[in-house]
Amino acid sequence: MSPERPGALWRHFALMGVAVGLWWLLPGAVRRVAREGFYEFQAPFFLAESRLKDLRQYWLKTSHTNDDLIAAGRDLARVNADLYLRLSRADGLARENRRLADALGLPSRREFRQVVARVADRDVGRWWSRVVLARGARDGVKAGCGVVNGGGIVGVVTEVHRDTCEVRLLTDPDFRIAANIDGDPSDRVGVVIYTGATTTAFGEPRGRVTNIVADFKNETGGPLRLVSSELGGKFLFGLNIGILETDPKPTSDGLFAEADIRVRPDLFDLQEATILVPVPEPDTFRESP
Amino acid sequence: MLAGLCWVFLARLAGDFVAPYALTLPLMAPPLTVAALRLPRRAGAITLALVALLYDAGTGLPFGASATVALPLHALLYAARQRLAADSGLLLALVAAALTPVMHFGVAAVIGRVSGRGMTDDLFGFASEIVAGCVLAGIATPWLAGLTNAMLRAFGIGRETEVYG
Repeated sequence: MSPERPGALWRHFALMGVAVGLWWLLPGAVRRVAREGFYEFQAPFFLAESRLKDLRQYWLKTSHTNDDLIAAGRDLARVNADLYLRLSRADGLARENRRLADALGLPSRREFRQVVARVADRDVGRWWSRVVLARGARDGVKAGCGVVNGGGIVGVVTEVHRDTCEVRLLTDPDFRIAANIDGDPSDRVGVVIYTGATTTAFGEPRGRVTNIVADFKNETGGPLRLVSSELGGKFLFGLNIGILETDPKPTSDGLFAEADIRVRPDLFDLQEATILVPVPEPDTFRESP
Repeated sequence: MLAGLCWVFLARLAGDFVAPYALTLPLMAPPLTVAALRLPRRAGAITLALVALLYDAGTGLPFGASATVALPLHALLYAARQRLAADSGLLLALVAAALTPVMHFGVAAVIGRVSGRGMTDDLFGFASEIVAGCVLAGIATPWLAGLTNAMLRAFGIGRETEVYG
């Protein structure tokens, strides 16, 4: 290896400093466009990653015996029968709910179109929690859409690309939504605020709930569950967020109480999720010309 | 650059694999080491900057943050490569691997992701990342260097770059 000329390294340092300085002085829009370009350049790899995981699952499942598959099919048929029953009951309840709401003149609830998406990439660490879903602008996904699965709330869409979208998970410190405490019989607590919390390495997903009334006591005896509120319009009411890990403790000013939340552990092992895309409401208040 | 793209893809797979354990792998360690120890100065810096931008585009980091921190580290390691004996490459690779989690920590602190509570609660996690970085550098760096050389030869860009480490 040939030795460098004296001073070459210092020139390199100076040049690098200038390049980095210029980079951060660039307008935000230019950096955003550059990021989008770099992201879309590698987006096919995200989708390939998703396909690779599907292939792995496929090969894993082909190793099952016919007896295993028959048993799984039988169990699934039982679950389906139960779900069909619940679905028909839910339809009846929804009709009844709509009839009562109409009778009382209540405003209509927000409707969502459900877009099911495979998880293409997961990026979960101590400082941020995010996943990439294999659905994007071409499927009508928009930034701000809520993301859920069978276990409850998953997160919210932050960036939308052509065929993929980035989702900020429930445990990300920037995630913040209005919530309700389930099993609060007198509805005394009202709306509380849930925020994600830093996840420690090898630790469980966690969050934090604040703005609980200071004298709140758990009178149910069992663990309290935190569920979504409809405020904000991103989620349906009553979706699971997590369980209050401790009884609420008063804050230093004594006005409110706060508690840690244990989020379900399968959140970091997510394979599929549903994006809730709001359906535009008919503009009933537009006046005719 | 192509080797860097392959690395980013493999790194994403690795990141996805460890996601259930909430462990942040210092995935910029091998490209940093290869760029500083195996490539010429200017080519190494440009390649590293592009790989860092590719990496940032697919993570929650501010776009350009990894390049901002990796480039001075690259220059430091390159300076060390010029001054130290030829057989100290492994030591420099391990230093690079240990510096990468520190780099992540610095970025997280700048963008306000590190709270005092998180720091004290998670010293074990931080130590785990440094160990993971060293292990990753030990396993992945020679492969990434080999991949870089193979691609340079395949595209006829030049002979195998300066052999070091």
